[in-house]
Amino acid sequence: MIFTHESSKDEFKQLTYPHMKLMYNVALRYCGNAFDAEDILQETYLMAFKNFGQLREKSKCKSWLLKILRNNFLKSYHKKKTMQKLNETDYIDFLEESMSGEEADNQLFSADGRQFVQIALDQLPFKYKEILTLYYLEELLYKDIADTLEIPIGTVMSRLTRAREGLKTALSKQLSEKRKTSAMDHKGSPIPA
Amino acid sequence: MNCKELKYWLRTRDMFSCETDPDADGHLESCPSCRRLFRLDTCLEETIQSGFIQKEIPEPLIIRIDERLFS
Repeated sequence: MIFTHESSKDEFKQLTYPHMKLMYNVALRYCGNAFDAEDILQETYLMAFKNFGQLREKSKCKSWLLKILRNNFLKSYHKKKTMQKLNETDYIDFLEESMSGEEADNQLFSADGRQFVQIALDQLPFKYKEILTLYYLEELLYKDIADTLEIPIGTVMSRLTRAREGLKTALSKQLSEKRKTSAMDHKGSPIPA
Repeated sequence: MNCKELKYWLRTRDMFSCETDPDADGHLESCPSCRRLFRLDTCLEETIQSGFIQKEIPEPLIIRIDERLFS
């Protein structure tokens, strides 16, 4: 236990707990599984608690927590993961070539968003994965993303564009492969009498 | 707007907050292949957004954090 004063505990809870759901969801997207996300979240709150005195601008609590969470994740990520590379396929070209036919549209409509997106997200390098997570999960403004990641707004914009194209390409590939597999399954099934 | 310009717009429409553009609309009305591309891109965007809907944090996790911090 670090704080002895009830008022400090209360202030910590008051400021940081409203962001816990967001931190959990960011951790889920970063880690790709609930088990690791829970660990990262606990470590983040422990670290935030220990260093609560360093938070000078209370209005920046959310981005402060996001930075701690990011650092915690990166520590474990560098130990475990091999670095992913962004697929350089041109997104629009790929979409045009691979997703032909009406069934492609239907497939997109019926896709289970969370599962598909997480698999696609896990194929991206971390710098793209994190910017997409901040953008889509909390709909953070470019300025806030820039603040959290400590990069210029111009870099946020260009990185986000590349990240979205990378994610959409990965997603389209997944759906395209699923389509091929289900077509093969369909071919292999016995002809009804 | 031609097909090439439409594809450029498709890539950058969110970045510059230009989700609607009368020129793009005009081209989409007259070009079935770009219309389809636009529809697929929009579907992908919606799939992505649905994939980022926030999950509730498990109650036992909040309790665990509380215990580690304050007990």
